[in-house]
Amino acid sequence: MLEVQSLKKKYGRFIAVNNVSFTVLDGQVGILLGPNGAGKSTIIKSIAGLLRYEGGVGIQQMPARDLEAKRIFGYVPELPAMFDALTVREHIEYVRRAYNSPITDAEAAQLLERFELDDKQDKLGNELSKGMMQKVSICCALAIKPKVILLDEPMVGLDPAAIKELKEVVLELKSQGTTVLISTHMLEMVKELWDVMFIMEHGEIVGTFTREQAKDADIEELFFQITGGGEKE
Amino acid sequence: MKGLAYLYQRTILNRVKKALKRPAAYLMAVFILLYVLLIWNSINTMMADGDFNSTENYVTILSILVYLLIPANLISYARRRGLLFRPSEVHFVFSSPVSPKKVLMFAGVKSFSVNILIGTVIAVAGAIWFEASLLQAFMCFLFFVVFESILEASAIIFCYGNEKLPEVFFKGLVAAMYLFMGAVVAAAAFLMITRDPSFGLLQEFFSMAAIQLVPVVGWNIAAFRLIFLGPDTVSLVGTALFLVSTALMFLAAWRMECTGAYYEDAMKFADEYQERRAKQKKGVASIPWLDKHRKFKQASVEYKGSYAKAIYYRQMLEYKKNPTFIFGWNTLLCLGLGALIGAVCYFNDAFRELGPGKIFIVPGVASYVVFIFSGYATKWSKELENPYTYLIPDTPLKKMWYATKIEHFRSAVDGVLITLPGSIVLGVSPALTALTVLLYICLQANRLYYGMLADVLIGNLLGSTGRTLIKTLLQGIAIGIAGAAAVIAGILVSIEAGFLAMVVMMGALTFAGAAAASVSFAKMEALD
Repeated sequence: MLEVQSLKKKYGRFIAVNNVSFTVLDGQVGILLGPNGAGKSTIIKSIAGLLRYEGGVGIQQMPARDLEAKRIFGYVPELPAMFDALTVREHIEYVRRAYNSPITDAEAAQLLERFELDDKQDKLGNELSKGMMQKVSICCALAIKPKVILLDEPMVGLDPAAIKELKEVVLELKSQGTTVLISTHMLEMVKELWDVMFIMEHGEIVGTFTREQAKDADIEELFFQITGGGEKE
Repeated sequence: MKGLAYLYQRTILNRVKKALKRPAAYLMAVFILLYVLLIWNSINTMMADGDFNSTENYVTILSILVYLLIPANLISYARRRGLLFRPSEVHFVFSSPVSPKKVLMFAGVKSFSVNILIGTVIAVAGAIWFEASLLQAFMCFLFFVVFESILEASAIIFCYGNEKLPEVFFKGLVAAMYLFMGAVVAAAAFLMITRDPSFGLLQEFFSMAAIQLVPVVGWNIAAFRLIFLGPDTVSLVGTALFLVSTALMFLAAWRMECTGAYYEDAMKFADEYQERRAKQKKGVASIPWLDKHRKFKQASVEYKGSYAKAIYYRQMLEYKKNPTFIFGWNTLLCLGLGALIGAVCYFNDAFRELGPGKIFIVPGVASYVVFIFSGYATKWSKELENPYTYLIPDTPLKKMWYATKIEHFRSAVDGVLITLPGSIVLGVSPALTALTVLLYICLQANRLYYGMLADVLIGNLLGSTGRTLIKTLLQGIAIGIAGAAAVIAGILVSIEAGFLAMVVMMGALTFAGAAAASVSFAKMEALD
């Protein structure tokens, strides 16, 4: 379970995120939507422990900054950054050791195969294209075997096969009881994945819907209904 | 921690493996070895010739080092800019289940390794050149590597990991350290001005009790004095204070609660550093503070041509929006250099002393400056990264010319600034002054196009060092040929004719290089 309570983040006098609270339960997929500059990335980075903030973030009912919480938390940043001198396989091995993850060699190999990285295992971080880096970043987050996973714009740079695979992975994680939070602009891509949706604008959550509440309403319609955009289209 | 150890081990191994495959690494190793041998020989000669090898002198050298290194280190830590985290570490390390203090120590390993290296050099140099006993050398190593590293590690945790003291405290600390450094420099300058400047004076300065009792920095000097010169009250008190403060700092760092609030600053610095590094790699001169605060004016430009000419007009529009137009730090440097040449010639009465040879002074200095300094990339180099440059339907030569045209205007201004003061003082004729400016423009163009040519010729085969070497070699050949033409014409006709021959030859060689290098503008992959 991921809990965000009264999260507030200021950059100098500018309030980037103001009093944001939400919860994504075990086995649920939450999506964080909002126009550019709405504060989505700030929330994601705060949850990942990269920013100072006021308020609280809980992972499986532990403070997010606790090492025990970090052990079960996977994070895929918007812009992946690889270690220049580590191969793809060594990135996975690093994660396995850093998190003391129970992932086996066979599972790691299978993960790389799913994202078509099995023939790139010996490539160094600085030899990878942006799309490949994104795939490695996703594989590393999955190699943790997380209970809570955060994906910031995970589909950017991925090829159609990888997007399809990622969607399948998200549904598998959900069925295993993992909490998933995805921040994205690509509404079309998360249509069949979400359980709960948080729409942000100007640093605040302006709309929350569960799939039950939304019934058959289109995700785009809901989004534009709240944010008031898209009329011209 | 297992993850961090694995990360270090694999990074080092893979880097070594990769380096062994690159010819540039072997070249660099040879250069470093030669450089070390050169330094070794120079110090040996200096020590054999002079009466400099006393431990007193060594302690003074170490004291200068301490005053240069420690406050600068502490300031960088207090500003949270002393440790370098890369974006990959932000991605994979900050969110991993590793204590933020351990993450700090992981980043500090680079600093501690430098301490081991410096400690080894200090101990070996002391034993070989400065009559220090083996015990003294060992104690010095122990002190510098062990205690100094403990103090540094504690300072890192105290400055980065502190989540209780407000930001104002650290800003105050930085200001206080700058003030302290300023006061020490002012005191040293006062002594140098009021008394005869000598190494003995520095020795006297650093042996003062007031200097040795300055917290941390002075106590460090006291410890070195105790090791090499034996005990006296001040060195004993200073060393004791150093050891006690190190122990207290260690204890404070150990007990301090740190949840990783510093990750935000570290992440910001990692991004800034990455950006600066990328710019440096491309040879773009960048001052982060200025870049951040740069404001652009409103401006417009009339496009008087199409195709490749559009590149020139677009650049001109960008420069017109720039508050300093096409001018920058380089213009100020040229102004300073020109004034310096003028002043030196004036005060040394070069006009009478050098006779007809005086006309070669300014071009000689200009050639030297152009040859030695590698220059910096400006807007023209960005054209090579822009796909639209390659899509413009025009010839590569024209694209190159219009992309670099403003550089020649800039060289003309710089050339006038460097040439004019010296020419006036030396009484050089207007025609020769104009030729000197022309020569400067040719030299700068030569550097620009030959750099491009080196890129085309060897690409990334020998790394950036290799490219610089090839460029310098090509430039050297061109300057040599132009110089030979000048000598021949000078002997056969007149000095002025020699000068003209040099400019013409340099211009022709530069054009040939430019024509060959224009292939860079033919297709984008030429530089990959």
